[in-house]
Amino acid sequence: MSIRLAIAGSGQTFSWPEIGLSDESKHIRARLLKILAEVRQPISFSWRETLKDELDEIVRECSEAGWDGYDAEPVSVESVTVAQQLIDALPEHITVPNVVPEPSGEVGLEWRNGAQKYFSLTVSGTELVYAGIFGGFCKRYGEERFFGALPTAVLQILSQYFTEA
Amino acid sequence: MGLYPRQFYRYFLSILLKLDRVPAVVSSGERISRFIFYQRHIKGGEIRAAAFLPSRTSEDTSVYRTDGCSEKKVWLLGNLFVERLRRDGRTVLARGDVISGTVFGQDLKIISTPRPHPRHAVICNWPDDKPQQLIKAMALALKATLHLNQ
Repeated sequence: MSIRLAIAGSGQTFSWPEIGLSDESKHIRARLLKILAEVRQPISFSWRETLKDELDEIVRECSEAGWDGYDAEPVSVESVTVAQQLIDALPEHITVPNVVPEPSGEVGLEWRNGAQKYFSLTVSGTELVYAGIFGGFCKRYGEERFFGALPTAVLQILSQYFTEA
Repeated sequence: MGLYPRQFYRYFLSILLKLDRVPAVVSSGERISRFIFYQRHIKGGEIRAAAFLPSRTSEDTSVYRTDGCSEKKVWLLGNLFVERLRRDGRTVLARGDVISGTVFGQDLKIISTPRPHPRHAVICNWPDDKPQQLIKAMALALKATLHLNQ
């Protein structure tokens, strides 16, 4: 006897023995449950997780001074923690940013839309630093306290220029 | 080529390249090259602003004045005078070329600092303010052309 399981919307089915006592069976069951949990995650949650995985990679790549080939400071655990908070604070409807470490050891999030629109967000200490170029002479930049939520000015920029189609 | 002949060849090449002479003052139409070592700074075929941001210790951005240099010579400069001076074995992945006028247009300066090579220079006069630094680095990144080291 086996259990057949259909994943909603995907057209895929999984099946495995209802009562599996062997180690292999338990292992397969655990793996399938993990896959199911991942498939059921909302898409927005997935991109946040992907960005956080990238942050982990960045910590590994940039843990030593001079990681940029010059004299960049190591990316600290604190920088990564605030970058994770920043990712959590992003609204749902925006395009997925790039995670970019900076020579100061801070980690920024960047959005680029062609050769004209470029926006960057970095948490520096307790300050949220933002800067953007939006074609021609249109530039906006500033610094605000970061308490885990994005300021209105930043939300407006993201909504205006970097919304998912 | 054996180890010693190769080392001698590189040494000879670096001596030869150091004979290069450029004007002390950087003019507004010169090509300026920033060698890039970190792959996330060129992700998606685009140069990131972080590649141009100044170092916190020196407060400037190290570049080379590559106007009039052949492609081969530019990469040799990167190899012999940037990459080889490092001890961690990192290799130059790419470079971002920008015209000096673009740098001057951001109220930044390019000062010739002929060590380790006569063509070496630094982009300086960066503001202390981080948002303003970012805006200027972004403007350079948007105007820069990416060349991969193949």
